[in-house]
Amino acid sequence: MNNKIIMKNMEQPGYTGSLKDYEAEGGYSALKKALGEMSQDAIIEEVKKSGLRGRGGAGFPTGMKWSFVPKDTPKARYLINNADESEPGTFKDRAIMIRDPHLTLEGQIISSYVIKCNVSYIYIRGEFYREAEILERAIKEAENAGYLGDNILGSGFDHRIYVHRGAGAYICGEETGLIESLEGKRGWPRIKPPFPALEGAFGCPTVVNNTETLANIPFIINNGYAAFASIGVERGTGTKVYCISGHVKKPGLYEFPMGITLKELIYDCADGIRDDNNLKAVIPGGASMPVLTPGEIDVKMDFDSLAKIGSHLGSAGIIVMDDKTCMVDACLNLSKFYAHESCGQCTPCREGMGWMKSILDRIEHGQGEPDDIDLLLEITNNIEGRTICAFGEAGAWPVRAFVTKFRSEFEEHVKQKKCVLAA
Amino acid sequence: MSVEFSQKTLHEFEGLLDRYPTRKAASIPTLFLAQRDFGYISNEVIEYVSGLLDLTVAETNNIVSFYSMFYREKMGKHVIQVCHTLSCSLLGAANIVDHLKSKLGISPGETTLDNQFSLLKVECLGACGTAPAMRINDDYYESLTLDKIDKLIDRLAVKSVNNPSAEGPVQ
Amino acid sequence: MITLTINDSEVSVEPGTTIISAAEKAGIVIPHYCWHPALSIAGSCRLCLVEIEGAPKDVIACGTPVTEGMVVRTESEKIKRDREIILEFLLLNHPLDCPVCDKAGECQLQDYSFEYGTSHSRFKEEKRVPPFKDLGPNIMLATTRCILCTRCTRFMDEIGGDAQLTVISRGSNSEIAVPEGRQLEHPLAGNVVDICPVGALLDKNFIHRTRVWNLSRTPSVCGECSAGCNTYVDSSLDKIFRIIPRTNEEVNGHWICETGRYGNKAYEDIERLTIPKVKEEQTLKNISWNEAVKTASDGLRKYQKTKNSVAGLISPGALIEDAFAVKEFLSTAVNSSEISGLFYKPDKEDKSFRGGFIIKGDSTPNQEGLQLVFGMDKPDINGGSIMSRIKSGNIKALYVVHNDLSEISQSILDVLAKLPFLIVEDIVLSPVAKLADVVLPGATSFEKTGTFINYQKRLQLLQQSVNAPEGVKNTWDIVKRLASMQNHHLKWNSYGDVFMQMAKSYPELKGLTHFKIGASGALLKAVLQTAGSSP
Repeated sequence: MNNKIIMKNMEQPGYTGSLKDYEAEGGYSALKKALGEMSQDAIIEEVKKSGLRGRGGAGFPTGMKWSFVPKDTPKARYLINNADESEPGTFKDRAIMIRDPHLTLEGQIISSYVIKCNVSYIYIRGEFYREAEILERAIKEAENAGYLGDNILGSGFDHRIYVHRGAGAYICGEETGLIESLEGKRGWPRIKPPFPALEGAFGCPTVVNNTETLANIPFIINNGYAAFASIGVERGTGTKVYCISGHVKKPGLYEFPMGITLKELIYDCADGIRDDNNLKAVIPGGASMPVLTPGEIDVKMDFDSLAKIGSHLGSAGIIVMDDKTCMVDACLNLSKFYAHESCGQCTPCREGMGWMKSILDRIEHGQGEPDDIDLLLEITNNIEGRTICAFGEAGAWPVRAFVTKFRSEFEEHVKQKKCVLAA
Repeated sequence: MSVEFSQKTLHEFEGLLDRYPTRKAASIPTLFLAQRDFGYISNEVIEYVSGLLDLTVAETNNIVSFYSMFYREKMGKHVIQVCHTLSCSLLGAANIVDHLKSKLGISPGETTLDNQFSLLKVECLGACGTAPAMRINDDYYESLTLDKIDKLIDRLAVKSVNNPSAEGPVQ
Repeated sequence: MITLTINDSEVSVEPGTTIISAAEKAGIVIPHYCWHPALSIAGSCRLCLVEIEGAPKDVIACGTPVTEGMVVRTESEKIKRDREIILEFLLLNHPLDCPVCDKAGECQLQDYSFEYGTSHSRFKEEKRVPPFKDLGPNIMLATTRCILCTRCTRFMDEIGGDAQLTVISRGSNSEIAVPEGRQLEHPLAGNVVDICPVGALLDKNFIHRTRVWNLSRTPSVCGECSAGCNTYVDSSLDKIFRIIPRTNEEVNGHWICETGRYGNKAYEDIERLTIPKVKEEQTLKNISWNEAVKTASDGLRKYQKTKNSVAGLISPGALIEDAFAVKEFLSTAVNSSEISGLFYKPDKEDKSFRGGFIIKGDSTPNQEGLQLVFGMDKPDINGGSIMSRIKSGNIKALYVVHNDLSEISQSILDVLAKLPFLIVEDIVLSPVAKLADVVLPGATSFEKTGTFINYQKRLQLLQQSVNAPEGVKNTWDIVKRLASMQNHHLKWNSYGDVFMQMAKSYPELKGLTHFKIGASGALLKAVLQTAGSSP
């Protein structure tokens, strides 16, 4: 498959991700083209027409996001590369940062040029310490080569990139939580309005783009929107880096045009289920997205196709579970994650996540009662739509999907007063 | 014990301030510097950092207590952080924790008596494709097996015995 | 202006107004916890969710700006259900210890749960029971009851200008806290108790002393400095239990300082004067009111023949009515226009806070009022002119009103000691009372209804919150008795009457009565201008 955009360089034997290697593959030609030949509006137009949608989870059209930044503001503007990759099941941005850091940097510099921003940040999760070091080195290389700093490539555009490490909080992947954290505060998401494009970091217009999203920009600039739009499906253009983990023989990253089926990814790419067990459940888009049953895996892995069957592409973190897996335990595992990561700011999430965890914990350990199952579903309904940020849904959806789709297994736990799959 | 950055760290701190339009924005990186130099974020460290950043002690406390990577108590030389979120859990994170518990003789949240190892269970580390995974200090260890862990821990323990003052990560 | 419909009311508001404020304008209260008109918007309690026609989901009224033609519903079945849901979440870990909670009766969690909640709990888990915390000298945190609305932390940061109180930890472990080894100690700290919508933050001076439904509430004005903060005095059976702020955007906003909050404390353990005294052979002896008034009158009669040989000296803790009553008495009955205040020069700076709240360096409430009564442009420090005329022997007798606990300097006391005849109205046997030939038991500012004028020249009414002890008389009453001994009839029977008489002779007060002053006071400069510009 030659249609790779993100992993094209890194999968070549001997490719180190150094500036030299990157340039040998045509790296920074898009920056030269953008700064030399293209106006900001032209680039926005190009990206809009390419159909590129955010790769962080929400799938918001990238060009449109940029266009919300006011053109005539005396304020500074900021761009933040969201490298907080924390959605369980997702590990693509880390690979980009380790194996081809200049790819996302080039995208970041072009995007900053588009919104006329002179300082941008990479907000990287704190655990990625070595990855942050790699980025710092790559930034140095780019500075020395004149791709960053004052008067980049003689264009008159000045730009600096700083790496900002988080310190252990999933919620900082949410764009306003991220902005708060960048400002040195706890990562409590903001209420909107105002939206970041008008009032984001340090009170200034701000764009937050995911690492993989930015890594697509050089391709679009180099090859034109049509080349990008011709890949993938309608309303889901380009490629996607799918992350497969869990009970498969060959877990890892697989880049394909959007629209490849989940079945192909699991059985063709990842070589099927470990020990040739049967598939029981699969989460298609990172832990927050509703789980699917084996009957649903013919779904195409793009935004609309997954939405049609009640799930979402999210971050394309695919977690595969075989038939030895206890669904109550898996659900409890995620529920613990969300209870641990709830920022505690708003009522439904702060109280609801812990409540669901406690009920699931009881069911898994034989203390469940018959009305607990409907209560769980009601709690998910009560959280959804009533929180400050999308974390409410992120924590509620998986529980609702697990309980709904594997209800009999939950009921069995309650009836037998123990985990029915425990060895 | 009075807490103060060395000249070298102060220089790093000044460098941080240049990156942001506000002083407060440097709080997280400054706290990382403090944790690197002092081992953990004590009340004295909070006081000191508050002074550097023009924050009230309560504000710094508010920030520190939000983030799981800031330690409020003294940790072992090697802080083992075992991921136990779904992908790692599916591939045996619980066994790894149990194994480390018996090997080190401590439970998650505890530090060995010789202050060599602390054991923590942490949420998703973003290394799901190479699960099960863990970190020791700032380094990732992935596609773990119990055998791999044994060798790793033994090597770290020997290294510590031979060179107790050795700093920095083990490759 | 933007016009929108809330329930069945059409309302027009400035662009940028939030739904909750627009609703308030239309007289519709949207239940809320975290929102407070003087604090930044947190949007976190989620109780103020409202339905907007055509919107995909309900929005928070506190954080959503109005738009033209918006149709908002605040009492639909959907919204009532929203409130029930939020209240269920809030009550999961809330202890329901209302029977012993000091907030019971004025708790918004109680009130809204009664109105919108359900009567049973579906929560089978163990409640979180974090320990109660002592936050500082006056405030404790009943941690279990906290609903994390963060009003208190925002107050300390945004109004107090010193973020001593913050949230710590995260998720369901979040708590309000001061750092280890620190105290919540701040001139405005007590306000966090008032704005706490539940019984989490408690005033240690108030807890377990009474139930709030036993209290009666009187609007008053603080007497601890010239800022004139508006207050409520909560009392029961003539005992003051607490003083809390009364909102006046023109003066104190929603706040008061610690000095004002505990301003009643100094009056609690004092030995009040309730029986008049006269000096016989250098000792003060108890005597009846009739005899005391006669003794006083006889004493004055000795000197009043020569004009201006009797004078009055009034503490700026007194009402303007007190000052006027004495002034009237002096001019009509004893042939004198000599009157001044115990004015002093503030030895402190004004203290301003981030949110605009001010504590004045002048720690008396009514210097401006006394100046108005006496017709002075600036205060006559330490009763200057009167003091010199006492020293020169021109003034032979003096009537002092000192119904508060302010200290009078030794140099003044030394001068007063030289007087041939001294009458002192006081609440305790203070150093100045001890010098007197006649001591008359007076009433504190909590015990009478009258007015102060603050540093802004704002006339403000304080109402009597407790009855004075048996035996104590008001100044108007005392001077009326003294006057009648001299065959002069002063025609007032209350402070209200005194004020009405005053209003006739001072253009600044023209047209005003106690009833017309209004809840936020009357700015006198404005009255003057209106009076001047009217034909």
